[in-house]
Formats: sequence, structure tokens, C-alpha cells
Amino acid sequence: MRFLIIPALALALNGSVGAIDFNRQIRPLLSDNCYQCHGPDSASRKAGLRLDREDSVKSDRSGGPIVVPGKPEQSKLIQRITSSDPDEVMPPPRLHKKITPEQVRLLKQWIADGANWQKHWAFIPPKKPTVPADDSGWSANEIDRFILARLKREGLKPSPEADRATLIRRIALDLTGLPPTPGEVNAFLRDRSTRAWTKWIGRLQNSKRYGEHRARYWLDAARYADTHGLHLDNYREMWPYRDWVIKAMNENQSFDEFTIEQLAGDLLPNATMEQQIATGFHRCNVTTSEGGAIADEFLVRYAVDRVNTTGTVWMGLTVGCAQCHDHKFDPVSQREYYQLFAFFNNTTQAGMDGNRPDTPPIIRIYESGKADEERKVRAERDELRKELRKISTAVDKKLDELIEDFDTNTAVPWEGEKLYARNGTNAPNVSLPIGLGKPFTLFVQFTMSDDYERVELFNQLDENETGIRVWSDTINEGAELELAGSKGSLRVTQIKALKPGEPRRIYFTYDGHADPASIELWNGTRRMTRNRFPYLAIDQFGGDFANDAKLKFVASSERLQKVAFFNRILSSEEIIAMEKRESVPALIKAGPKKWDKFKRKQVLHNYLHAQNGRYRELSAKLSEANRRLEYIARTTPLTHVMAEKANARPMANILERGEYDKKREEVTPGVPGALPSLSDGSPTNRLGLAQWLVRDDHPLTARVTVNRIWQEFFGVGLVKTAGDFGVQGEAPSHPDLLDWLAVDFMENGWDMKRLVRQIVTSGTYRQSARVSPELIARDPENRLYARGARFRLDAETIRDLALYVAGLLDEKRGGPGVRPYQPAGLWKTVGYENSNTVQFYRHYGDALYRRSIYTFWKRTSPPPNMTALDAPNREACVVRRERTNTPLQALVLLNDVQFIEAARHLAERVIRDRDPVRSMAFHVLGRGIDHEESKILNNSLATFTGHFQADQDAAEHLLSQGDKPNQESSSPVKLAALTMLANQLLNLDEAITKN
Amino acid sequence: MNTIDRINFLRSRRQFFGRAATGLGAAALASLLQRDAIAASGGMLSNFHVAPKAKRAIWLFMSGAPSQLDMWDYKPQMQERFDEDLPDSVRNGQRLTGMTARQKRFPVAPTKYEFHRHGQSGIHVSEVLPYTAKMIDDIAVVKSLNTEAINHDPAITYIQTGNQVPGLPCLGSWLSYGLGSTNENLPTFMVLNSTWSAKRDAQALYARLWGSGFLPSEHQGVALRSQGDPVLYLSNPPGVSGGLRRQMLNGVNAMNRRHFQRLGDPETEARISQYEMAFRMQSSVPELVDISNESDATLKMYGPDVTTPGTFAYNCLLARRMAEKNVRYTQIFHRGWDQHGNLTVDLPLQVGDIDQPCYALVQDLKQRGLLDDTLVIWAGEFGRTAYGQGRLTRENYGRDHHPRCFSGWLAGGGIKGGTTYGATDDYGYNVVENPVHIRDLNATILNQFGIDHERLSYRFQGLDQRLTGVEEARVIKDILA
Repeated sequence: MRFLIIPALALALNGSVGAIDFNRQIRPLLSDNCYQCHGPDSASRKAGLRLDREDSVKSDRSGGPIVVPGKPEQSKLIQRITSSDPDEVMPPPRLHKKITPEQVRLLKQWIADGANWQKHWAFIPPKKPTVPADDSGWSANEIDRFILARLKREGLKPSPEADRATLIRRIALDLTGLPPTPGEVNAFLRDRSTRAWTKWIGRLQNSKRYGEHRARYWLDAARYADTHGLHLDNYREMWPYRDWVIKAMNENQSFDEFTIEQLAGDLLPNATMEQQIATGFHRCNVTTSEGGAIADEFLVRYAVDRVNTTGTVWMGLTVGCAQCHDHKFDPVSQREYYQLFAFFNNTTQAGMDGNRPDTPPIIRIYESGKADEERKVRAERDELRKELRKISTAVDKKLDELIEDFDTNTAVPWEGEKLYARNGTNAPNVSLPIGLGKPFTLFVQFTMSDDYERVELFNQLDENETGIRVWSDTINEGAELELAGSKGSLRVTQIKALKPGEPRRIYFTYDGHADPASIELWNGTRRMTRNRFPYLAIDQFGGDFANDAKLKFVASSERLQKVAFFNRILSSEEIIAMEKRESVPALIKAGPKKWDKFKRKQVLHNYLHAQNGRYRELSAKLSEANRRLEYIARTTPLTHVMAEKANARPMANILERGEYDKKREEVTPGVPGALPSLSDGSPTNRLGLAQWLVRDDHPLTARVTVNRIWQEFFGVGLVKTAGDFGVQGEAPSHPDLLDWLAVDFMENGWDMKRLVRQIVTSGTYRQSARVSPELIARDPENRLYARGARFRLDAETIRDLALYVAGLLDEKRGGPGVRPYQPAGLWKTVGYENSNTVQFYRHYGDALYRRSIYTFWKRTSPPPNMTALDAPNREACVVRRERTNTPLQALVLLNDVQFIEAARHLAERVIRDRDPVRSMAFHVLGRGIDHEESKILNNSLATFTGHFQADQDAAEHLLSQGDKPNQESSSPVKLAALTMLANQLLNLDEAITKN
Repeated sequence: MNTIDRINFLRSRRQFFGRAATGLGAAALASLLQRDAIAASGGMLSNFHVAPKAKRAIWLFMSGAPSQLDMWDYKPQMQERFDEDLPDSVRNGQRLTGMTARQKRFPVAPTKYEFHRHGQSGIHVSEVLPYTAKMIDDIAVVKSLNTEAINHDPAITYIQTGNQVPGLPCLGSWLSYGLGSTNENLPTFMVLNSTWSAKRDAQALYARLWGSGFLPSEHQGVALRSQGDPVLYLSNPPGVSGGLRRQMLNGVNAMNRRHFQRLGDPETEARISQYEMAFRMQSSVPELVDISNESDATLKMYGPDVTTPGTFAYNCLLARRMAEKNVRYTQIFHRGWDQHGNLTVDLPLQVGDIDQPCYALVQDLKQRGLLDDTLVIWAGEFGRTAYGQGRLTRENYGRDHHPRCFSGWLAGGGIKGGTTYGATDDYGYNVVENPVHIRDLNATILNQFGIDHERLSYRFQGLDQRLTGVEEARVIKDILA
């Protein structure tokens, strides 16, 4: 079928000439055409016949055996598939499957040859095959011998080695995701030593960039992202897991440990913090907290996702098919599916994620001493609460009498309050004592009309860069406070429905720290920015911001009705009391009999704050303790981990048709019978499963892993269906090589860096990618490796490359996701109003230029310049990205401000070079350009220069794109023209491709 | 080979190997070499499975689940049973969402609105839909749609992609994959998100709803936006004119051709053609969204919102413009239909957004002779309960999610107008006649495009994956002309 009409595959599968190979030629044919009704799935099996087992195929049945070895004409199989009777012929016409004459011939020959039967290749543990000989001297290592042997059979020859400039760019991009600098290219070109290649490989593998690049692939498989994924799609704090993967890659953790820690790090004896962080792998799945969702249903979905992901990533098996019925093609029964499911069915995790950034089980990653401090402050806080409750209960008892003497006027001016503006009487010039380490609360009451998009309420008096600004915004119906520092600013923005025309009462609080959460915003009595997700656009302060800022009131006094300043943080209780205080006199006048319990509380709080010194003092201390706890909490990273219920053992019920509420027979954890059984005495929990996966006799894990790593370098795996090694998957193009690599990998301690080194030191890897039309026609996908791999770089690599050659890349490592440029409104268009990721706020400063692996990933609206270039949305496990070539990709690279800004900085980087064109091309392409290319580029530059000379405003406009200014003071025309040229170079096929 | 030959060669190469080998369904491959009209437009199917009736489709998706009982499913019997408990025999084990699971009783909530017969067909339509009622003889109303999902995220993912769990391609991506494009200058599959008038906290949408899942990402929907660039990154940066961009692209192409000479990879040539398409889009998309040449009569038909970008009316007009330009599939989302409470305040606001534009779209297509081969579909992700959620009065009430039945309509593209299909019980709670699962709806849509839903498949994870999944699905023949 597939392989008969597709030459590429035919090549791959008919590699061995002569005898029919059951696994490569017969089983796929039976599987495609027959297993749907005559395969492992007992429920859909027709006539009690299965064709996936030798005994069933060859045993005597009424009407004769299906297959009589050596006698095709007596075999019912042949009779039925060649029958002309529509009621007889197989497969039945209604299935729209058809066996071709060529396939019939194959089946006949197979039977005539004795109907040799093999277990599916992937279920037989690999043995190290003999390495073919190479007398040509071409081979650099074993990989090449296997590749060459096959090429010889096909009558093909390997391509010559690529030139050295190509090689250094290829290896740098493949190992670090960044191109070589011109200096590195030149150094490599000069380095004529025989060890030059391995030396460079070593250098690149030891770079911290190595792990950042390798981790990317794994994070696709782990479905890593920064939001929950379903419904509200709120922020989820998970990045310590991402950083753990990067570190594991850089430290070259062996793949067996890497496996065990991610699947079961929490179950290891005395599990370390790192081992627990590793278990984040299975907390990356999408979760929900949709109102109305049924927890049991989602707990089943989470476990299903974990089983299926584990199946795909480690075993290359599509076990998910067995969720509802026995697998139709592979030997995984429904019962066995739920045995795998059972491993993941003893979690303490709740079905609803609570829309929280920290859905338990989580761990916090404390700096030293912080955990103790937290315990201490918490105890103090509890004590204070108790005290305060005592006072308030005592006062409450006497409140009815006390209020008789309560002068409500004393409740109105709040302690420390300074009023700077009231209706019609704005102070013209005021001085605010603000600065780093000086907490304050700022209260602003104002009204907005429909007419303005963005209104400045007040601003610091002088035009220096630091100070305080308050804006309001009718589009987002929000308000914003900005504390501008000398090296960036803190902002807090509120974006809820504030109706035009109604007075807005906003409290901004600042606690004196420099992190984003140190400013908060209250909309009346509602605290709006409690969330851990820093959805304010911020920069950390590099310096201080102005002390004693002089305020200038910009908005009219009609609009800006009231501004009050406190040189301390009001506690939440105080803010609520403030908000209610104007109603207190009336309540007192009405008398206690008219109060319900809320009104009573309102009066009580106002009374306590105004009249009781002790209460005020303790309340201030409580507020301080709470802020300290919050500060510790918000500056202590957390991450999601796996944890087992202590009082239960893993088990599961078989779910009829996979439906969560149709629980059937109970099963204990176990592994499919077609694979090795669990070791005696191995724990029947995730740890046992993880240990089993990396056992030397497991036929799948090593093969699947080496295949995926191979795919990273060659674009396609030796098994193209990297996530499906089952019967329906594609057979390996080089089965012996795959087995050799798998066994060698295990024999050498599952050493990933070593495997990568083997691949990139091979002659196969180093071939030129040049291809003739004949070879394209013969082997379009390069499955035979008669040439070097050539494919478009991944989205992240393209962006990183542009930033890097521009000199913009900020190589800060790790930490929370960053939000670089993104067109406005994307999150808002799809987001739920109450989601904390409904508004996109981009970062400022260096965060715009971080490596793309650190980009914040919102699953329901991922970064558009990444998804255009085939980055997956991270909702589900992906072990192989598609690679497309579309106009939308061109638009990203041509027009995205990120790329325009990179071009502008690349232009600046070369503007003073002797030959800026040549120099720029060297940065981007990693090689010198030839005469014709030089002509093309210089012609372009002349055109651009002419254009900008005629229209200097255009030059200024282009140069205004992106935040980071140029230092260059020379002609804007020249810089703009070079910017266009840089844009041109960064859009070349060669620039965004490995070669 | 000259460039054109190379590109053709490349195109067939990519279709043949790039996609076929990744797993085109066996059936679809059977006659791959008989290239025809579909192949010419870059689709994977070699030929139509049945005679196609529709060349394009416009899906008007009401996200949040509109109440069928207040719009389409006329249940006069419920009026006398106001506030009576819904009999257990009717509820019959239907699971409840977490929102009404703790509700003590399930009181019957009859609609506040009157229903009248309309058109020659005499189909009952609620008074909230005066415009749609006028075209009742153009549309087929299906009253027996049903699904299993009872919450928004899974349900909307289900109806769009055939599965409640994220990760699969949506209908538009399947059409793009199977049939390719009939337009040289615009994407095959466009998505329009609309503003809405009811309460602000509408259910979210997700990029996956127009995502290509495991299909190559070139099949994902392209969102046409009302803010900023109509297509992301479409505009040149300030200071770069179209002319300058053209010259820059000439330079890109010249360099790429040089590189092609050096390495010979057809992908380089493909890149050139994609950049050219991008350049064409820079003029074709602004033309598409420039409605200045629409006649007053046309604008008036869509109603006063039509000139406000982002409104449902504006999006309907754009959908018609796209149909004229042969965009294969346009998906319009309108949010805000999740009326758990305050239904009689919010529902009129919502229908105020959509009623007139729906009518105008169908009539506009009809007047231009496009309705015959343009399929228009209107529905949400599930229905709403016959019993009230929260406080119940004759005048106001709320309704919870209800998967067992809901109503939608189809028009054009070979649909028989003036028909109804399927029926529910006296409470509008259970389907009693001709159930139409959302799979059946998808099978029917594909059928109108000439596709047998069982034969449009893609090999992924060892299975020939289909939009309609593994369960049986059937084409609703009775609503076809």
C-alpha cells in the first residue's frame, strides 16, 4: 500500500533484496488492511479471527487454515483477498481499503517461501548488529559504515564533505541554537589540525547554550507552558521545571536518571529538591477549573494524558488507542491500558486547578533561611490576629454604647493622610516623599469620559526620567501608576470595567521593594493584582527613582477629584474601612438596631481604627507581617510536582469506552504483556514504571530515544514516525543502525552528549547538502543520507539568531517567562474576562531580547511569531514538529518589530566596518560572499540609500522601530538603508536554514 | 527545469512525499495520480467522493451556547408547567454541571418569548429573531443536535475538532488539507472574532479552535483582526513603502536563486514563491477589508453596526467578500451566549448583534448568486436546560448547559431551505426523533464539499485520523436539496 506507491518508502522498506521480510513487507500490509477487524482488539474482532498472531493464522479452522505455509493456493487468506464475490472479498468494500495486485503477489510469495513469522520488530529487544565493513576509508565512525552499506546497495555514493564555513555554522546551530560569530568562523577556518572538528564540538557542548537548545525539543514532548491551558488559561508557575531540563542537558545527566527523576523523582529515597522539580514533567499537562466541570472526569483526563505522553515519549507507542477498547494494531489491551493508568492514578492533585498559579502538589524553592523566617513570621501573624480579635470582640460587645460618644469627624482624616487635591482645589505644586525603600499608598479619585484614549492625571514636575506618573485609559477602562526609575520602571495597571462617567476610586500601594509585585492596585474595596502572575509591564530597578518627586496635576480638577497620599501602606482592612467611612456617620445616626452584621462590622472597624491606639498599632504590625509573608511567597519560586496519596496504593478501574463514570473491574499497576515484565520486587508505582522503562532489555526506550535525537540533527528520524514504533508506525530506514545506536547508547550509560557527539562527528553528518535533481527525485526526503541534512531552522532558533547577530541577545539564563513584543489585542480577543492572562503586557528592557526558550507561553494564544513558524501550542505532547513554508512566515520575518529592531542593530553593528555589506553578510550567513552576491547586495543597498535620501522621514520612521535606541549618531539615511539590507539578509532562505 | 517547472515539481513532490508519506489515508491515496481540480488547488484528495455542492462555507459560531428554547425549539406545553419540577423520567440520569449539581430542584422554565409561524414552510421562530424568521424558507433548522460535553471548553473543542481533548485539527484545517485553496492571494481558511453585547465575562476562545492540530500548520486558520493589522505582521514597518518592499524582495529572490544554484534544494524555490504570496497578500488583504465600495443598500441590509470593525455585522460582510474571492472556509465567532442567569436581558442584546447580519449575509450571498455553492452554518457548542438555574420568574430566568439537544441551522450549499429536522420532547430536553450528533453535522458539512468523512484522513499516531473520529457518523440526507 503506502510503501508500494511511494518510492521513498519503497526504498526504505525494500532495502534488503531477495527473501521477503515479514516485519517490513508483510506485517504492515496485514495491519493496514486487516487488523481493524482481525487484530488485537477483541471487541471489534470479526469471526473470532486474528491475523496478528502466528498461531491464529496458521492453525486449522473450519474451512481450512488461513495460511498454509508453502501453499498459497490452499491458503484462505489468498482466496479471500482475491475473490471477485463482493460478499466474499476481503477487506470488505465498505471499508474502502484495497489490496493491490503487487501486494497480493508479495503475500503469495511470502506464503510460498514458508510464511515465516516474526514478532513486530520494535518489541524484540535490540542486539548490537555487526558493523558493516568499509574499505573506502570514507567512514569516520560506525554510523557511517551502516549508512554507506545501504548507499552501496542502492547504488549511491555519499556527498563530499561540506565546506568548512558551512560546517561550523551547521554545528553551532545544531549544538547551541546560535550561529558562529565571524571570529569563530575565521578561527575554525584557520584551525587546520585534525582535531579541529572534535575540539569545536567539545567547546559547543560545554557551552551553557547547549542545554538551552537541547531542552527545547524535550519541552515540546513535555508540553511545557506557562498557563493551565483550559478555560481561563490562567498563569501556572512551572518555570523551575524548564530550568531543570536545561540544567540536566548541560550537565549531561544520563538518560536513565533523567527518565527516573522526571517520572518518579518524588518517590526516590530522600528525594532532593531537584529530583522533585523534575517530576514537573507530568504536571505540564493542561488542566481546567471551568465552572461546572466535573472533577472526576478531568482527573481521568489528566491520567490519560500522562499515560499517553509516557507511551509516546518513552515507548513510541500510541497506547491512547487502548483507552476505549483493546488497541487495534498493537498488543496493548484495554486492561493493560488501565494498568498503566493505575501508575498515575494515585495523585494528591485535585481535578480542578482552582485557576491558581500554584495548584497543589507544589514545592517552593526557598533561598537559605527563608523557610525558617516564613515559619517565624507566620507564628507572629497568628498571634497578632488572635490579639486583634480579642480587642475587636471586646469593643464589639460595648459598641452600642461606645458609638454614642464616637465623634465621626475623627474617623474621616486618616492617620498620615495628606490630601493634595479635592474638587476644584488642586494643589499646584506638591512634593511626594517617594523612593526605593519608602512604602506609600496613593489614593486617586477621578472620572473619565468617552472622549479620551489615554489621559495623564498627574506627572512629576520636572521632565527628568524618574518619578511618578498616573494615567488612565478609556480603551482598557483602567488606570496605571508608573514609578519611573533611572533604569526602567515599575508599573501597575488595572484593567477592569470602570464605566465612563462614574468616579473611579483607585488605591495604589507600594511596599518599598523593587520587584513587580511591590506595587498593587485596589479598585475601591477590590484588590486587583493579588495574583502571582506579574501582569504588569516592568523592569527591575537598576537605579533608584526620584525622591521627593514634585507633582504636576495634568488633568483638570473636574476630572481629578481627589488625591490623597499616605507615607505607609494601608492594610486591606484600612482600605475597606476608608471606602466605607463616608457611610459611617449615617449608620451611627440610624443606630445599631438598623445594622445588619456587615454594617455593624463597618462601624466597628471604623471605630477601632479611629479610636483604639492599641488596635491601630497591632493592626499595623499585622499588616507588616502579612506583607513580609507575601514578599517571601512572591519572591520564592514554586513549581508543580507529583505526589502520591500517602494512605492509598495505585489502582484503577477499567473504564468502559474510556468514560470516567463507567467504572468496571479494578486493576493494579502493570505493564503490557508483550513487553518485559516488571522486575521482581520492583515497586508497583511510578518508580517501578520508570525503572522498567530504562531496563536494558526494554526493546523500546533506547530505540525511541536515539531516534528522536537523530531526528534533531537530520530533520527526520530513522523511524519517521518518532511517536509511533508500533505496527502502524513506519519501519526504520536503517534498522541495523537504529539497533546499534540503541544498544551502544545503553552500553555507554545512556550518555546523551556522547550520542550527539557520535552523530555530529560522523561523515554522514558532515556531508554537503548540495543535491542534484536526480537525487531529489530518487530520495526527496533524504532518507538514505546521500547528502547532508538541510531544513528550515525552528522558530526559536530563527528569532535567537536574529537577536544574536544584531548583538541584542540577552543571555541571562533561567527565571520566569518573559513577554517580548507581540501585536496588541491577541490575548484579549480570545480570553475570558476574568482570566489573569486576558491582557497581554509586554516587557521592557533586556527581557525583550532573551532567548526564545524563556518566552512566556500562553497555550490558548501562544506567541504568534513562533506558531507561524510551526512551534506547537504545547497543549499536548509533540515529538516531531511539522516544517512548513508559508507566506505568513515571510510576513513575520519581514515585518515583526522584533526582527526589524534586530536588523536596525545589525546595521549599526557593521556601519563603521570597512565593507559593511560583506561584514553584515558574514554575521548572518557565516561566510564570505562571492562577487555576484556582493553585486546583488550592493545594488540593494544603493536602491535603499536612494530611497531614504529622497525621503528622510521614512528613514527616521524605520529607525524608530523597537525600544532599544541606536547609539550611532551618523546619518539616518545610511543606517536606515543598512537596516533594510539587514532585513533582506535575515529573510534569506540560507539565513533561516541550516545551510 | 525553469522556475515554474521546479515549483510545480516541488509542489507535487511535497504533496506526494511530504504529506502523503506522513500518513495520508490509504483510501485517499488510491488514485493519487489522477490529479484533477482539487490537486490543482493543492488539496490532498485526488477526487471528490460525492458530487460537491459547496465550494465554500461560512460557520457562524455562537460561543457560550444559545438557548434553543428561547429561539428555535417551540415548546408551548412548557407554559402550563411553569415552575413545576422537571420529571425525573425526563431528566433520566443526565449528569449535571457543577453549577446546578447542588440545586435542590429543577423547575420548568418556559420561554418568555412568543413563537410564530413564518414563511411558506410555516416553521415556528421566536420573536427574538425577526430577521432570521424572514428567511426561514432559505434555511434548514436542525432541532436535534447533541453532544456529550457539558462544559464550554471541551464542548467547543469537540464541535470544532471532533474531540473534547485539545490537539486535533479543526474543520477548516481539514478542508484546507483535503481541498486546498481556490484563491491565489488569500489564505484558505480565515477566522473572524466578533465583539458582543451581553455581559462581558464571555466564555473564552482558544487558538486551537482554528488550529491545525497534527496537520501541517499551513492549514491553520488565519485570524482576520479588527485591531492593528488585519492579518498579523501584514504591514510593512513605518518608513517602508510597498515599492521599497518590492525592491527588497527582488534582492531576497536574487540571493535565494543564487543559493538555489549552489545547493539545488527545491525548498529554496518554494520560499521564493511564498514570499511572493506574502507580497500579494499585502495588497489583497487590505482590499478585502476595504468596504468603502459597498453600496448603501448593502450596508443598510447588514444594519448600523456594519461599519464598525469587529462587530458581527462587519464580520458577516467580510465573510461575504471572502466568499466572493473564493476563500474556502470562514469561521466567525460571536461570544457571550452563556446565559446562566438574566437571560431575558442578555439574550435580546445578543440577538441584536446577530439577527440582522445573519439575514443580510444569506440574502447578500443569494443576490450575488453565491448562496448555491456557499454553505452557511449557525450553531453553538451545546444547548441550554429546560429547567431554570437560579431565580425563576415568568419574566426572567437562567438556563444551565444542556448537551442532549440544541438547535442550529444551515443554508445554501445544497441545503434544502424551509425544512426542520429532528424533534425533542415536550420539555425540549431529550431528542425523540432523528438525533443529529455533532459528528453527523460535521459529516454533513464535509459531504456538501464532496467529501466522504470516512475517507478524508491523515495518518497520525498509527491511526487514520478523521474529523468525525472513530464513532459512526452519518450525513443528514433529509436536509439536503
